[in-house]
Formats: sequence, structure tokens, C-alpha cells
Amino acid sequence: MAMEWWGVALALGLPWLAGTLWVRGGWRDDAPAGAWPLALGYGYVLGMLAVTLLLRLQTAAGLPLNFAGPAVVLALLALAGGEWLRRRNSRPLSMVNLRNWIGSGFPSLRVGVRWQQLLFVLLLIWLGWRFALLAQEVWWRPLFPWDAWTTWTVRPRVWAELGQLAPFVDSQRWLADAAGSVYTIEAWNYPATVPLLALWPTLAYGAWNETAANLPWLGVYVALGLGFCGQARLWGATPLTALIFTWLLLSLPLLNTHVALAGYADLWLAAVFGLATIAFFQWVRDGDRRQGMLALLLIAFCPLVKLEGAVWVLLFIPALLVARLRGWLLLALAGVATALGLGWWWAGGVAFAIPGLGQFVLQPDLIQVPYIGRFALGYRGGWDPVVKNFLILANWHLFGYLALIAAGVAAAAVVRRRVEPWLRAELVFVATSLLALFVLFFLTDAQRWAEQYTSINRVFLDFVPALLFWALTVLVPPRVIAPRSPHTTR
Amino acid sequence: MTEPGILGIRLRPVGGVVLAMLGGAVLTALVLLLFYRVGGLTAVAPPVVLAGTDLKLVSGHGEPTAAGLEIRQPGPQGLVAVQGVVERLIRARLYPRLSWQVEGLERDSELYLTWVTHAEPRTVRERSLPAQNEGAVDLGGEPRWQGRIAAIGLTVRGPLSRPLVVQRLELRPAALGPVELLRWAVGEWTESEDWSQRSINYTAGAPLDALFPPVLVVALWLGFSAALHAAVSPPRRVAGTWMPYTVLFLIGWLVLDLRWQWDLGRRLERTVERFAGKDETARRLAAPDGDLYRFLLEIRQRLPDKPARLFIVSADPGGGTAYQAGRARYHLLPHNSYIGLPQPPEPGVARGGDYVLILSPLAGVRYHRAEQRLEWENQQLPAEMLYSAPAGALFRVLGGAPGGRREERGVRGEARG
Repeated sequence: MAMEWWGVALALGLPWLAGTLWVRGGWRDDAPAGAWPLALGYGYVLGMLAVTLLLRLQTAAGLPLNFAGPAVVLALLALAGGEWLRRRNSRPLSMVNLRNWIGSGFPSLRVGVRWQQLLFVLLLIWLGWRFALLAQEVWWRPLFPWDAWTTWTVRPRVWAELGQLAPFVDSQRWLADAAGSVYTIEAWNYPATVPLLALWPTLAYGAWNETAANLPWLGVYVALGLGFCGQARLWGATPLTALIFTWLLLSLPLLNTHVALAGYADLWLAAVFGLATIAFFQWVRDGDRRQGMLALLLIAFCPLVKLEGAVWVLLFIPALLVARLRGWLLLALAGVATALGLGWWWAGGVAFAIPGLGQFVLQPDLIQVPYIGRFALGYRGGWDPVVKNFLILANWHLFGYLALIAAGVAAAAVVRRRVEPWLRAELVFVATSLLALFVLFFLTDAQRWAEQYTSINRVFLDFVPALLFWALTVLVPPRVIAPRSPHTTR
Repeated sequence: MTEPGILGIRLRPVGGVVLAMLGGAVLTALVLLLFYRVGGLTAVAPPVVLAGTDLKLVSGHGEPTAAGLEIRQPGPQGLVAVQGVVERLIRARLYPRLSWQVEGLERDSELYLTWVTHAEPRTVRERSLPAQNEGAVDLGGEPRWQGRIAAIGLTVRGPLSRPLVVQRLELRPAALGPVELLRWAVGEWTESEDWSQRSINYTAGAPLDALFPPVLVVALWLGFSAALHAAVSPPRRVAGTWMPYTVLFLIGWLVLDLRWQWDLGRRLERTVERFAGKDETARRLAAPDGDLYRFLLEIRQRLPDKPARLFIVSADPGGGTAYQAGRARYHLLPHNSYIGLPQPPEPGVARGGDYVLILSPLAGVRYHRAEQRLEWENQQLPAEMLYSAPAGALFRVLGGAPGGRREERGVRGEARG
């Protein structure tokens, strides 16, 4: 392998290592099964997001854009993370034992190979084969999908070739610019995180290279699976159940497509938002501050990955309130919210400006939020695209049906009044998520995107990891929570 | 304690699940057969009806009337031709039954069906029809009636002593027997699409208008299997009672995933065949826009080393030529391009030393070589042509170099054209 590809391997490996060590260091020797896959999954995502911050810092500090600077910082972070892990764990390298990776849950091997073990291995092989197919697509195919070469990859290519983060502006400013020092694309105001993720391995490669730029997408596919699997184990799923749900996630055709045809931001938002939501669900259930911290970190990045991430962040608020408030206080808050909503409707909405951000308009017939867009509201019903894309076309295999089954089981629990606080918070989260999608695709002009199938699935992809984990929590009983540890908080 | 069965699997419950699956498969097949035999085909594949108002006159003189599209005079060579768009892009083999209704056809006229396919929109095919005012034919035996139909029409050759009114054209699916339905199911399940610009938005898994969408068929199969299992062995409130249903669901998912894996493998074969083992330039030349890339390699040679300010002009940058314009910008990075112009930039916008890349075809723009200027409508831009090819032309805007920043730029390569 040529030297430049070793550099790319380092560009992907260093943040992964640093992130993993820091996340894993959060758990001590008594870490529940699944801590390592969780650390590997969340570690990659957080490590790569940290790289984008380092690149920004590098430029803000007036330093030349290069690989060496952030790489040195990452190496130091990895060393510090390793030391932290060593201090908090007496056997930090026990990960070499597969049983310690996946924890207990299998019947003893002494009675011979059981079907669970056989199925587990077969599933791993199947997932490995899928990964190999997708990896070859990423490796051989030049940058292909539309928004990749019109939006997300234009900036990293310019930055890689110029060796600096040249600014992108709207077309009017570009036309008026006499110096020719600024660039323009239609989506000039989209966040820079995903372009920086594509840029990073090309800095290590030493020149612009599409394959190198796309490799982080392959990494986030693996990381999403590892993070999901680890969280499933932490929830209480057996190794086989956790792997089955991970297979359900990693086999989804649209998710696979976003890896094979790398370059869109949706896969990253799905990973960041999805892993944030899963950590949030765990925190809601047992108050584990480490999960709360993971959720907070990832939630903070959502708006930096895609503009709609800023809206998705708001979806946590009702669930958080339902999780943390009880009885009259919750009812009072719901009453106040309803009264405010009715008052807002009666008054015809509000419009205000925030200096530096711009004009906000929140009216029953119009919503305008700076950087996100202007949406004329009004019912533009049409269930056909929804039914077709979720229950008939191959986008999601049988996920649409699984979600309906999970909703039925959750509804039955509500009817039987067996709703734990965590399930209540999850239900509120799922309901507000679906409401947000309903508003987007039924009440705004985005309905056209649904009818044309252009973004209905891509937007839904953001929610799929979280919804699949929700289905898992509804169908798989949680593990019994140990007595309060220093890491739990209520 | 002795473990039951093989690998710890209890054989009796497994047998129950297998029987339920077999029963479910039979029921699914019967229900689908029944559905398509009692009129379901019309619901899934409704007829394509083109009334007079849906048709356009391609050759001849006339206008739409309440009765239909009325043609009073034939066009050149005594030809009358009408055509209508088939928006659903139907599959020809599914729709072999054509019927037509016209008024005013002469005894010695010749009547033809014309059509174009989605794959070859520029090729018009035709087939003679009985010269009757009303009629129906079965196109099942027509070997060229293949692919997806994008438009159909009628052509009439011969005298026109009175106005000809085209009232209606209709395509209907044929009634399908069990064997044909099975053939359609197998065909749809084994159809593999290559990656396209649509792939990132949705994965159909079969034709969008499939008679047997895999996900729906598997869902039906699982539903029937689960119902059969529940009927024979009702769920009880004991541990493990949901296991058979879980297994059924996972097998259904696996069936779909096997098909997807096979499809991914086929797509990868095409990717490898096209791109594997090539360097970055060769891969781009092998891409769908390889011809454009080849042209842009020539353009790049004529641009300066340092990033230049470049206006990429194409006929419809927000629509029909957005792909070419966007790809041109991407391939020419880090040159500093703007792709939103359907006409060359005005002199106040483009400055001396800027570049203009015109992507063909672009109507209404001329270049005066002697006077070195681009002209369009009532405007002109002094520019030197650096390169010209069928795909487009590159110009350098003449005039003062703004801010003195362009002086250092040399132009590589010889100016041609």
C-alpha cells in the first residue's frame, strides 16, 4: 500500500482510537456487557467530530491547514485517554477476549455448539459480507450522487486543493467580489462539519482523492452498528438479540445506499442524532451520567451536521420534561403549553428578529427560521408516498411493519397502565418526531419532496436508528438496574 | 440435562413454524392469484387513456375540439401525426392491448401506431394498424413493443377530404393467467437496477409499478403464516410464546435481505467492470459523464494554474442542463465557478481576465471571431475564444485586469477554433 494510504488509515484510526479510549474510560472494570462496542461506535463518531473542531481551530488560530497539527493533538488525546482508561480499569486489555466484548448471555460452550452461537457467527459473517460489498463500492466508484458533487464535496475539494478553508458565499456576493477570493454554491450556508469530515483524510493523503474523502462514510456505518449493538447490550439484550437488531439496522437498503454512494450528509446526521437519542433513552431509564454526557455531546453537534439537526434537537425537550417531571407539575406545564399554543393561534402568531441571526416568523400559516427556511403552512395531504415508501418499496425492508408492531405493543402497555417513566419519555419522543415529520411532509411545501420521493426517505433516515432502538426497548425487557452507582443521577 | 433436538433446537415448534410458512406461502399465492384474476390488475395497472385533449399535433394543422383533436389539413408529404405522453412510463409487455377511436378516416388511408420508449426517446417506432375508425389490436406479438413506453400516437398517410378527429387512444393490460403471473413475479424479483441518481433517494427493490413488490408480498406471506400459526397454536401467556412470530418475522426480513444482497452484488459487478483497477482520471472517463470530462480536460489545459474566476453558461442551469453545469464545475475545481447563468455574463459582471465556459447547445449566442466578442440579444462581451468543441467553448474575457490580480496568469495550450 502506498504511503499516502497509510496516512489515510491514520486519519481514520487516530480519532477512532482517541474517541474510543475516552468513551471506554467512562466505565470501570464493572462495566456492563456492551461497553466496548459502545465505546468503539461512539468513539469513532465523537473522534471524527472532534477532528472537525480541530480543523476549525487550526484555521481560526491562523495556522496553515494540514494533517500534522490535528494528528498530533489526536495522538496526545489518545495517550491521555489510554492513561485514563488504564487508571480506571485494572484489566484494560481484557477486550481481546471476545466473551468480554460481548459479555455474558450465551449458554455455556461446554454443552457443545448451540444454535444461538451458530446464528451469531452466521450473522457476523453476513454483516461482514455486506460491509465488504459496500467497501468495494466506496473504493472503486467515483463520487456519484447529486448533492455530493453540487453541495457537500465542493468545499472539501476546494479546501484540499487550496490548502485553506476558503469562504463560500451566496451568488450575489460572489458576483460582486472583485478579488475572486470567495467561492459560491447554492447551499453555501450549510454547516461545514460534513465537508470537513471529507477533507480530513485527503489532508492525510496529501492531495484531493475521492476515495479517501468517502472512506469516513464507511467508518460511520461500522460505528453506527457498533454503537447500536453496544447500547442494545447495555439495555439488557442478549448478544444474539443485540446482533439481530444490529443486523436489522445495518441491512436497511437505504442506509446501505448512503454508504455505497457516499457523500451525502444524511448518514452522518442519522448516526449523530440516532446515537444521541439512544444514549438519551438510556439516561432517561437509569440516570447514567455517562450516557447523559454522550447524548449531550452528540445533540450539540446535530445542528452542525445539517440544518434540520437544529430542529431535531428541539424534539428532546418534551421527552426530557416528561422524563423529569411528575404529577401536577407536568400537568401544569402541559396546561401552560396548551394555553400558550392557543394564545399564539388566537393572536395570529409572532414575528421577531434576533440580532445576528435574522427574522423569525412563527404564524399559523407561515414559519420562517433563519438558516433553516421559510415554510408556508397548510394541509397538503397525501398518504400515498408514505404508504408506498415505508410499507411497499424496498427502502426499509420490513422496518415499517416492525415500527407498527412496536407501536401496538407500546399502546397496549399504555392501555394496561404499565408505562415506566422511560417508556413514557420514549413515547413522547417518538410521537413528537412523527409529528415533526407530519408537519414537514403534510403541512409545508416539502410535501412535494415526498411526492417526488426526493427526500422523504432521506429525512426519515435520521430517525431510523433511534426508532429501531425504541422498538428494541419496547420488545426486549431491560436489564435489572443495579443499585445506584456514583454515575447515576436523578 | 440433555439438550433437545439438534444444536439445542426443539424440533416440534420449528416444525410448526415451517408448516405455517408453507401454508402462508400457499395462501399468499392463492390470494394474489385471485386478486389479479378478479380485476385487481386494473387497480394496480390502470388503463392508459389518452383523450383528444391529451394529444398533440406533430404533423398537420388543426386544434383540440370537444369531440377530440381535429386535424383539418395534413402536414408535409400528406402526413398527419398525433402523439401523447404516457406519464406513467408503462411497461410495454404488461400493456399489449391497444384500442383507438378516430373519425373521418378515408377508405384508402394508411393508419399507423407510433411510439417511443423511455430508453430511446429519439427513436420513433411504428406499426401499421387496420385502417378503421375504431379498432383494437394485441401488440403481444410485436417484437419491438418492449421496454417502457414514454409516448404513443397515431400517424395517418393518405387523402384527407374531411377533418380527421382523433378521439381516443387506450392501452390496457392483458388478462394474466397463473403461469404468466408467476413469470411476472419471477421477472420482477430478479430484476436488478444499476445505481442511478435516484438511488440515493429511494430503493424500489423492483419496478415502481411492480405487480409483486417484494416487501408487500413478504408482509402478506408473514401475515398469513402468523395467522395460521396462531389458529393452530394460539398464543398463551407463557414465556417464549412470541418466539414463533419473531422467527417468522426475521425469516421474512432475511428473504428480503438475501434479495438485496444479491442486488448489491450485481451492482458491484457493474461497478468493478467499469471502474476497478483504474486511476482517478480513467475512472472519471469511465463514468456516465466521461465524454463531458474528456472535454473538460481540454478546458482545464487552457485555464491558468491558479484558480480562475469562471462563468459556466448553459441553456437551463436550473433544470435541463443542471447536471452538465454542476458536473463541469466539480470537474474544474478548484477553479472558481458560477453555474447559474443561462446567458453569458454582462460586461459589468465579468471582468477582464475572467473566463466563460459555454456548454452546448446554447441558442442565441454568437461569437464574432474578427471582433473578438460574444453577442446575444442586445448585449456583447469582449472575449477571446480559447477552445471550441461540439460540447462547448471556452472564452477569456478581454479588458483590464481588476486589481492587477490577473497579470500573472498565463494560458497554457494553443487557442483553437
